[in-house]
Amino acid sequence: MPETLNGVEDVGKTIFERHTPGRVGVNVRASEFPDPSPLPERFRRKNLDLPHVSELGVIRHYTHLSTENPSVETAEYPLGSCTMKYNPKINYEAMGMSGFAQAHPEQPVETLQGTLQIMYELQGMLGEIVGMDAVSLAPLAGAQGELAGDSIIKARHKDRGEEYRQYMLIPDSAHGTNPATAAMVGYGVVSIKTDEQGNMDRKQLADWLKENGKRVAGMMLTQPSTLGLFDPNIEEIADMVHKSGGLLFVDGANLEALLGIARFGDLGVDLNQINLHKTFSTPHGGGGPGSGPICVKEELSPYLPDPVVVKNGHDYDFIRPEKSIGRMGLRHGNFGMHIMAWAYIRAHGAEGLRQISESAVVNANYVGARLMDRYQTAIPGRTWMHEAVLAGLKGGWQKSTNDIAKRMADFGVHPMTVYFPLIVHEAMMIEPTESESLESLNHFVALMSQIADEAVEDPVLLKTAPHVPNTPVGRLDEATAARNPILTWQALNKKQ
Amino acid sequence: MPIDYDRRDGEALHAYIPQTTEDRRQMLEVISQRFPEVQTVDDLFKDVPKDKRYPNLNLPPALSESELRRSLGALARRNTVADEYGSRPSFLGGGTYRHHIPAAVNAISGRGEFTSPYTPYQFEIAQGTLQTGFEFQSFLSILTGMEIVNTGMYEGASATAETGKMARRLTGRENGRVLVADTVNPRILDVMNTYFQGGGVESFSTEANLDQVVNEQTACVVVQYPNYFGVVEDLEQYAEAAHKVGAKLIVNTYPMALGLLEPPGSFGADMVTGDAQCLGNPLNFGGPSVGILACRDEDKRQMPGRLIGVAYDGEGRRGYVLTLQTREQHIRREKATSNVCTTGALVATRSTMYLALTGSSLAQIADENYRGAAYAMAEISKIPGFKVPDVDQPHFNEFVACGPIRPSELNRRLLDISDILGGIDVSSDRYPNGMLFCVTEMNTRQEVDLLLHGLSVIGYEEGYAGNT
Repeated sequence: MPETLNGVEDVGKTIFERHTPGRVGVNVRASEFPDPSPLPERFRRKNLDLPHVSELGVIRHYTHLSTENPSVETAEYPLGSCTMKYNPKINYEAMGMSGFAQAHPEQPVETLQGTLQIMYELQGMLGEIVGMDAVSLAPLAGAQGELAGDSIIKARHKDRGEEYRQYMLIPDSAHGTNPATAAMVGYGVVSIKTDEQGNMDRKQLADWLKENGKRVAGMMLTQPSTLGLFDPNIEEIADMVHKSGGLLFVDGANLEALLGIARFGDLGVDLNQINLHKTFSTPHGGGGPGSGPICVKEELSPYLPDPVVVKNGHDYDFIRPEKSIGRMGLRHGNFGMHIMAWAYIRAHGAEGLRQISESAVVNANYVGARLMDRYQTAIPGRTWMHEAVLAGLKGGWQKSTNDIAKRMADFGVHPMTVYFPLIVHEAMMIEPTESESLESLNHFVALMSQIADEAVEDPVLLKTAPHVPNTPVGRLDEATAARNPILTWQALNKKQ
Repeated sequence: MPIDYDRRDGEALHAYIPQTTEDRRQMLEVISQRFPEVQTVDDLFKDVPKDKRYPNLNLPPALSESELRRSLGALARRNTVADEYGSRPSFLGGGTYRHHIPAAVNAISGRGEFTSPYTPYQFEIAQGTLQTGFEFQSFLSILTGMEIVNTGMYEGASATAETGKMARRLTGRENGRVLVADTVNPRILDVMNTYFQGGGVESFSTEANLDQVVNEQTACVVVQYPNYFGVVEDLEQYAEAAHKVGAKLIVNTYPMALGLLEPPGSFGADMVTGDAQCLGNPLNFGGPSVGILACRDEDKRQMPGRLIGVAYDGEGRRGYVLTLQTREQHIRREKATSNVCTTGALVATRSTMYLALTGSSLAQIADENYRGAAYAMAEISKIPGFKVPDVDQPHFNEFVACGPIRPSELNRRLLDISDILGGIDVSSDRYPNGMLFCVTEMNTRQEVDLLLHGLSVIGYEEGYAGNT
């Protein structure tokens, strides 16, 4: 087995390259059953080329890989729009308790009343938090929650014989999942501009509705927006959409700013999804799993996805709402995430939840205020909610936001979100969350200030970042990678 | 009115919220230097309509950590489960499976560096996540016999729905028929109908003449391998029927079975889907899982979900990046192949670690599943009052047994008398009082014999005795 690859240090060696014939990774018991009649030859697998690695070999391999991943548990992670908050360890314990982790979804509900009670209570608590009447925990991520929302809107219009409502209004600052979802459901997307104050352009909205009002299915609005701003005109906007016969869906991805501060249901919103892996602390896991409960006003509750948990006397059960849009997945939603969110809400109570939002908003404004000297603000003059959106370095240095982000990697800190929202030039989105202390915020500000200095004094340092050994590899050539993608070890091995 | 809380000077309110009163005071001072109108926290919420601000949330009071543990304990005790320590046997499968999870998987996957980072868009500081994902793609490519596998979807049923859409794009048949075999899990059909609200999903009988069912308006044929009832069907007939009319064959599969069975890729599958929960993940009441989505190399640009590829830095070091991102929502928005964003990365990470540990043993583990189920099938066939209609067909680890009474009643007796979690109710005309039983390597010989005994007693109680 080669110690070096391509003449450089042994970097990026996969588990397949650690294969040694004869090694064993887990001790398996001998068979307890008599010899059966064999599987027909045509179904019997001929080759199974998996690597053989000892248990310790596997542990070292992945432990080493883990050191190449800064995370919330190693340093501040101010990734805007993602709410990278602390994932309390007691919640993992909850998820791992035998009574919950070993529950099979096909068991009779009488044997799983503990699980159903957790789901029922979570439905109720989430509904209370956002001011909605009915909730289904079925959607498996935020985007699937959006899919449920748009599907409910479509089903409801179809029910009323209004299938001619074919357009979904979406602000130009929206997360990409919003228009992608609308398209999946078959809607045409109408983009509504954001004005110079950072609010929805109500004149454009009014004009469009005047011309086409009859054909509006609804609006997908994020509140606060991806600019980190709460649109004060939301009730007026809701009214305009309703007057044209449309429904207002809110993408609840930014709920972090509003716990105990405002409720969507009080502001004219008809339905929303919530991201448990954002506001409610379930772990991001490097890309999931998530959970995107859908919350609706009473009128829309018959359309909720299957299942919804109900309570009859002392017993809990699942029902399929009478006009349900159907199941979102094989099972009942991501229970592993439900129980973590349940525990998180129970650990805070109403007062604690409000402290989350107040602290998150103070943190974001503090960082924004301290960086305003060196970095452009996206919407001058306005304070932010839970995320501060900046627009690159001041002073016309034209230093790309990308280079700033790469330089941050040299310090073991994951940079803020870059180049989103699309409507902000050289966008940087900073969301500290309530988990960050004043010291870690000051550390982040100091880093950003240092990088701002370097942009002037030593720009090459930014252009060439990140640098080995701060990171395991230098800047990777993704353009070449995309031309002839190598997507498996087998393909790579064939090439070498 | 803002809630008045009694806070001792400087004290932070909560273990998860480090901001103290003093911290807040200092930060507000800095903020008001830039924004003079901000004097209190309330001023930061001035855009929220005043009459709607600070709603009173009717929630139970906060629990301390020890109280939280007690509450959780009380709720967990309300559940009756078959745990990994042998508390009682279970023979439930049907798409979610109880397999042995090596202790090492829990230990490594629980590290904060795997659980708490974001999706790996900043490549150089996410090599841990990216390389693990690349290994997942590679492992599943081997298992399924398909060239390309993405980093995962939510789970198998919605992944199958997405391949239906992919098939329409690939064949150019925008409203193409999506044909789903009646031996596919009925819940998968349900999910596909949710995704295809505009219609187009049709169920077909596997006993029908395929050439009459599949035509040039078909976008794809969807089958399950092994099928929902545990039978291993011949995939080649479906591949032939689909390809003859230019349609795609989509196979939803059970990854553990592929430790023993020849993979769908060998029989002409165009796309393969499934759930990787069975590889190294607990039941978790069915969620989270991670969906498998695999396809041919020439079709990869129509595939949804993230893809990880190899890339090199300026000095030739090997690294991993997200690639072909122009398929995805953050770039193409309404023109994306799908809206999918967050999926099941941590579940996939566990599966990767599982396969790394079982590489040398997976065939043997899968074989034990086969042996246990074969024994159970053969023995149940002999119990008076019971039939195993498909006993002569090839299976992996699941099969249907038809009993003398309703499955719900049979299961109640099995639980009350023998403390066994029985099978899934799949009663139909084809399987009267049909129950789907699953035997995995977690079921000992003793447990299976207990099941046989329990069923014999029920057969006897229902008046069946002696020779069949």
